Amino acid sequence: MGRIRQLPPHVVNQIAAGEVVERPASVVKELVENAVDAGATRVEVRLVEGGKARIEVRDDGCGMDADDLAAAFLPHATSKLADVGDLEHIASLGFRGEALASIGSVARATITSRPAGADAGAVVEDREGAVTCVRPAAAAPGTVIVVEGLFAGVPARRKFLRSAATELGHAVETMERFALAFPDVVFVLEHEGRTLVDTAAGEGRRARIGRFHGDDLARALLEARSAPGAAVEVEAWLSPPGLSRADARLQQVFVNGRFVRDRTSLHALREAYRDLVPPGDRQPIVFLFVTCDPARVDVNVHPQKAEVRWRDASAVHESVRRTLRAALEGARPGVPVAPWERPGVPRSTVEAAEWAFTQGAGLPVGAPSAPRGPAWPGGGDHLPDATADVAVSRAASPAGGASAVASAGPGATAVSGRERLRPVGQVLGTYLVLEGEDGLVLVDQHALHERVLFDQISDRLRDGALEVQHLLVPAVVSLSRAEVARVEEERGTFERLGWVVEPFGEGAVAVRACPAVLRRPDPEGMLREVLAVLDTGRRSGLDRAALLSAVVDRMACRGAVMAGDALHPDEVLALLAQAEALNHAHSCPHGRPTRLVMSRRDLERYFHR
Amino acid sequence: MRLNVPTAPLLEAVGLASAVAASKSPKRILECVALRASRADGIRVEASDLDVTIAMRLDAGEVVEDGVVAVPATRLVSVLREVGEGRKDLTLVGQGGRLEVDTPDCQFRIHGEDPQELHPSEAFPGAAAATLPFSVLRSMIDRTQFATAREPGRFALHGVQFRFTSKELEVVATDGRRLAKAVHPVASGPATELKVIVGTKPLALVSRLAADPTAQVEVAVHDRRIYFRVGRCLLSSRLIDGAFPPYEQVIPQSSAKGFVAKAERLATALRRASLLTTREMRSVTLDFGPNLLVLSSRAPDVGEAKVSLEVPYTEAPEKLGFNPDYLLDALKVMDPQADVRFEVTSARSPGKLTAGDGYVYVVSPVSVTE
Repeated sequence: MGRIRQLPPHVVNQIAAGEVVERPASVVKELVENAVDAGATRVEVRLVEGGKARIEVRDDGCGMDADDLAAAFLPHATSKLADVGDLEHIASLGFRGEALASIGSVARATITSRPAGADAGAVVEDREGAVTCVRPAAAAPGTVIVVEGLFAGVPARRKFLRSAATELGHAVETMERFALAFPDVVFVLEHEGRTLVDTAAGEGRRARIGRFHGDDLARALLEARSAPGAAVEVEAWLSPPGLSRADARLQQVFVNGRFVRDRTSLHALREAYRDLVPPGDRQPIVFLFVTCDPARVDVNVHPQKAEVRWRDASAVHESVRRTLRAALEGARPGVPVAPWERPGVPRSTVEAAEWAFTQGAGLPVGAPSAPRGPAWPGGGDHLPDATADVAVSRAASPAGGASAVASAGPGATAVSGRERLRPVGQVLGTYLVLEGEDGLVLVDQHALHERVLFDQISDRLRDGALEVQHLLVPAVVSLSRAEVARVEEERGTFERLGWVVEPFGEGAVAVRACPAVLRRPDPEGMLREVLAVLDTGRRSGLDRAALLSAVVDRMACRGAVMAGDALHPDEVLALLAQAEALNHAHSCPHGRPTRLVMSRRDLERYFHR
Repeated sequence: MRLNVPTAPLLEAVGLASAVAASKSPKRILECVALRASRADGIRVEASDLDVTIAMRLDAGEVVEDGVVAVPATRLVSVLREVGEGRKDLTLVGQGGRLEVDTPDCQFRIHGEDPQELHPSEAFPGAAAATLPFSVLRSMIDRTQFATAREPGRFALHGVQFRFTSKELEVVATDGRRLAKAVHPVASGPATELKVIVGTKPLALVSRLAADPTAQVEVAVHDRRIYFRVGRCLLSSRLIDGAFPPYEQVIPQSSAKGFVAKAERLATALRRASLLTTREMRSVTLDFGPNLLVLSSRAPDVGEAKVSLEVPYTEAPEKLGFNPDYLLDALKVMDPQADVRFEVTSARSPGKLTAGDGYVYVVSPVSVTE
């Protein structure tokens, strides 16, 4: 009897604060959101002790008059929603009317505000739940909110705050996200008198990325933009293939200016990078901005509004994937002009260079470094005189791997030229050795051929003109009955992929034709792999395009020359020539690199010359 | 060992033997050419890399002192080439595992290997499975071995199959996409059919065994090895294990849809039609119409080509694609003036070239997915 009581409002607010206010950075987030919603063009944040002691947010927004201030600390009081219908299309960052009440319940908060055009301002204070009367005060147009002694009255929460430096780091991250989301607003962050963030108005997102992550990285990023007028507009700054990070921290998604962890977009961006980034441990860098009608997205699903729910997730997925992919395919992966990551990394690195290649030109006359190659191992033939002309574009875009470094070295200007590659031989039956203009190039023959095949088959599939070589004697492959049934079922798919497969008695199929581009058609191995891919793909619900891509991937892998296959010099030249036409010749479809460059400088350093 | 030999035949024999010797082997004796001299048996030049073994007896030369010496093939060849120039005879002396080659102005001592380690000399095993003119065998090899498979896997197809019957010798090579077959009648074949697969390396050497086209070559199979004997040369090779697929079924029966043309004309038309193909898009479409063969190709980003050839073709029209290289490979090894019959049956069945002298070449077509 009488055990259930309605909680007093300040306790309710403290509980709500548990969800909304976690640490100083979340206070900063809520207050800056309000400032942006108020139409501020300049937002200044000043922190003391990482925000644990004092947080001040000053904006030049529309401000609040005395009446507004009186209601500001009330729970569920907001100017941003009027009725439930407004929840369907939330255009502002905040909307619940919880933030100020929550903050006021766990700290001493003071709001001083003066609406634009008003003669004077007013001030109101909330001391851990006790709201004072609104008093007139001197104020500049806009709003200043000061929050002091966060969690001073809630020791349980205060205990969980980290060091000032850590809390400050979170605050900086929060400011960074606002700065990227709203390039037209100036954001300033000062900590105990030191300016940590200072942005200029209208400098654009690339410049802002540069401020936070370094200009070299910012310069290296590609820019992607969906067609104007699309229902879901996508804008992104993304790493070219070959440039990646070990973690996904630099995959940031903003939906209508709000930083969110959106699984749909993140999945779409991974799909866009499919076969361009090594699997598992490497992550591309993407700053993604999705803009759409607020009615298409529900932001009211997470207390900190860190997630969204799409009305039509697949349209968003497709729009993001296609926009990013188009930018990646148009990219000419190149080599950075200067090292952008930490200095001191080893210089012999995988160069994400473009292979542009023409064959047949002889060695430059009198080239100082052009001795005849030794006899090709295995064949005993001498190398043909034909020299590979490989143009390596050194445009300003970064190299592959975390530690990519151009041989150009710091301070060098961008060089765009053609590099001649001279095949020297094959080592370990696996790597092609080429002499470039500035050092040694090693090529993984399997990886490169795999990439060549993958692209060729994909291209042909797109054009619907894959050449099919019929076999004189069909290859008979024994399969389980279930597998035979699957083959029957997927016969159309196989045919589209260039395989003519027919049932051949019980428990066997006959392969009558295979794609002409495969160098080592292995019908049995291929059939089994393709069935396996189709099976797992089905089970995990891959769509048709992804499934085909996975199958082509397997075909390219099985059909490519293997490590250990001896290659005739002519085959090497042909392979390099084919790499010319590719966009992503620097990595195999699984994202493994295809080439390693050791510059003259690397070699000289090693040999102490 | 001491012998006086005329330079030319010695150089020729040593050159052939050095092609057999291993170029690099952990067993150094396999890199050697052996010279055996006995007053009773004459002078023999031998080499073996275990897979292939060759032995040649020199017609001329004088053995002063019996003996045997084995020296690295490449060293021996280069020394003999140098000192043999302008010299009719050479004196070779083997002593303590070394070979001495002396001329008035040059003295060479080539260090050799222990002759005890040499592969034992071989003899031709009993009756021949086939005896035929050397020039015929060479042409059969030339017109088939190019069709062997090169890609890894399917090891048996890396070789050429010899099928011996009581009446004929049949030589076949295929890589699964095209097949070349040459047949020649023989007088005394084995009573039961015998099929073996021979690698391309020994076959290339067989073609060099004799210069005299009228010479007869004897072929025999014994203990997983095949033996070729021409005159005083004996070459043997280990066989490739495995079996060919049932290829007889894939050779199309005679079809009325065909025409006869000179090999050279057909080759020229094909070559022209394939000029604008690429490695990835390598096919030429053959359009069989009334008295006209139209060859065309098209490759994205490169261009298109169309070549017309008047041919005596009167059957229903037919249209199918081929990899031009496969057809050209065969036309190249035929006599350019030979009349070649080219037959097709349908767009998805193989085309067939026949040259009338027991030579058949079958190529599977190329189609394009929709």
